[in-house]
Amino acid sequence: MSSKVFVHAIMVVSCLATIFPLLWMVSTSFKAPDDIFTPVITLLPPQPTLGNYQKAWELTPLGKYMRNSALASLVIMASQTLTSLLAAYGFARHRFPGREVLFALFLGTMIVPIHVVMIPNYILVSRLGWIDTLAALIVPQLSSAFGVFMLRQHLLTLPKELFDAAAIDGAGSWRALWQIVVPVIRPAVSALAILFFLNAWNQYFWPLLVLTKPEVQTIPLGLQRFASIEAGTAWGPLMAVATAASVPALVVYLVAQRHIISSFVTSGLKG
Amino acid sequence: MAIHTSEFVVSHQRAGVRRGSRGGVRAIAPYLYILPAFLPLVVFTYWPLLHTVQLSFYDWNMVSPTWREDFWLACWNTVLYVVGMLVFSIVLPLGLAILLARVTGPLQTVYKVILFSPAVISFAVAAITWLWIFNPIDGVLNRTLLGLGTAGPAWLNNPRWVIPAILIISAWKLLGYNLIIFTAGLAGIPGEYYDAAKVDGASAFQQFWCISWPLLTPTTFFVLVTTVIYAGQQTLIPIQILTQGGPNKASTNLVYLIFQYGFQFFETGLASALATLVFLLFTGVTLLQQRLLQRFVHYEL
Repeated sequence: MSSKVFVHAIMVVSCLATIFPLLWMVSTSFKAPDDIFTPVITLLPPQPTLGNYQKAWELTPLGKYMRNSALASLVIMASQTLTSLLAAYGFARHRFPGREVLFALFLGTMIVPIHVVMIPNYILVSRLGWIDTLAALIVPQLSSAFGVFMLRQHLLTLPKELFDAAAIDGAGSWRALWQIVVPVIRPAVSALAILFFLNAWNQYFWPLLVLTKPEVQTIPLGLQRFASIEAGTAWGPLMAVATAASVPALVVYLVAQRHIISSFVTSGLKG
Repeated sequence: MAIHTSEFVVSHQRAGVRRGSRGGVRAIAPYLYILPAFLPLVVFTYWPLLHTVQLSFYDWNMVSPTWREDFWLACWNTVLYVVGMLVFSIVLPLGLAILLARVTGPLQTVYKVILFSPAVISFAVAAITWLWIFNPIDGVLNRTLLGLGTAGPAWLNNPRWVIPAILIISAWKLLGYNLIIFTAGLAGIPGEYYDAAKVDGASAFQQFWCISWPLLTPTTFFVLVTTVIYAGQQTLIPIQILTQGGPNKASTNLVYLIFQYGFQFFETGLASALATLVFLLFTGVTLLQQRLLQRFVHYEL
């Protein structure tokens, strides 16, 4: 019995330590300036205010950042999901010359980190004249090798009879995909789509290189820009932008946490 | 059956061109499914990978005089990041996973969800939030330390404390991820082993040392490699946002050096050579892990 108490005590302390930075971020964003710079540490804002959000809205194009983030993330999510589904279906349900080699080429891209390819990609994107457009952010990420890999795994677990039935029905491969495969693997596809959205929403490094003007920047870049200008003076508004940047991700997480934890763990962590 | 036969006949009557084109479509269909996913990967991964290697051989004449010094410092710091991260991100998550395995019911999910939460926010948000926590005067960390009677360091502005500070942020972000992997590894160990050990009167520590630890080796190796790669590569983001490699280059590392030489000094050739080196280094780690895994790992008792 006492060991049970010990286990829970350690878990509760660890959870508090882990969640504290996020709570502190949210708490600071609702605090009045006097309460931010007081030596007394309080998690609950003594005089809760929306002033920091108002200030953040005035000092930064917060709405534009959010709009750019939402637009880019949704397009990337849709494209990565669709291309992954098609390719996974191509690999899992068809036989053709070169299949193994092509699949190995897909897997190979997963071990290439962004900083290895960022210089040539930057040169390419700038030659295309895409710097400071959302195309520079979106086009290089239209597909995902991980998505192909994961959906292929799922498709391989489907019983063969399912496809035999489709063949007897005379359904072509394209019709079988939409009428038989998609309804069955919908949970896996939506878990993947959520992961794609979160990765796209949170990403920082590639956008930093190709988006330099506030009009086209996404919310993590806007946060960094605001911090580099205002850090040390405007912690309240800064934490308001940080909170605004995390709310969509945290809401998606709380709604779909079961799927997110397992798919994050198989995909590897992204910045 | 009759319908099928008649269809067969009809399609045969139209034979000729049609049969040829149908066979053609069927043969190239798989490639058409794959193409939309494959094209971006070729253009934005394989082609630039080759281009990076090619660029490494160009433009070396612009190299700055401090380059050699920068390089060795970055190598040393990369080692510090990796070693520090291993301590933070193996011991802590493993300990928590063992405790979490003893929790049953909905509380286990609650703990998991909370401990994993830092992984789902942007690293940029994490960095800025910790910038506020680490603030030397108004930050909550040094205020607390002051309350406890000691003055905290200037963290990100102190050459001695800047790497530990960045490690704290990165470990905080990675903790839940490694915890979940260890939890899955522990769940894969059959309960009978523990039952047998209990009958023999083994203590909790003996159970860990003789059952959990050896059977967890594949998991531990996996966590080891992801953590090494994470420490070597993902730290780029907090470094870029919080310190720009400073103070006085104290927090720089190899990946940050690529960014700096490539995008601040515009020494494309040098930065590409560095990128190639780092890629080979970390691919080497991954391959080494697989070799070791085959040699040393206990998959089953």
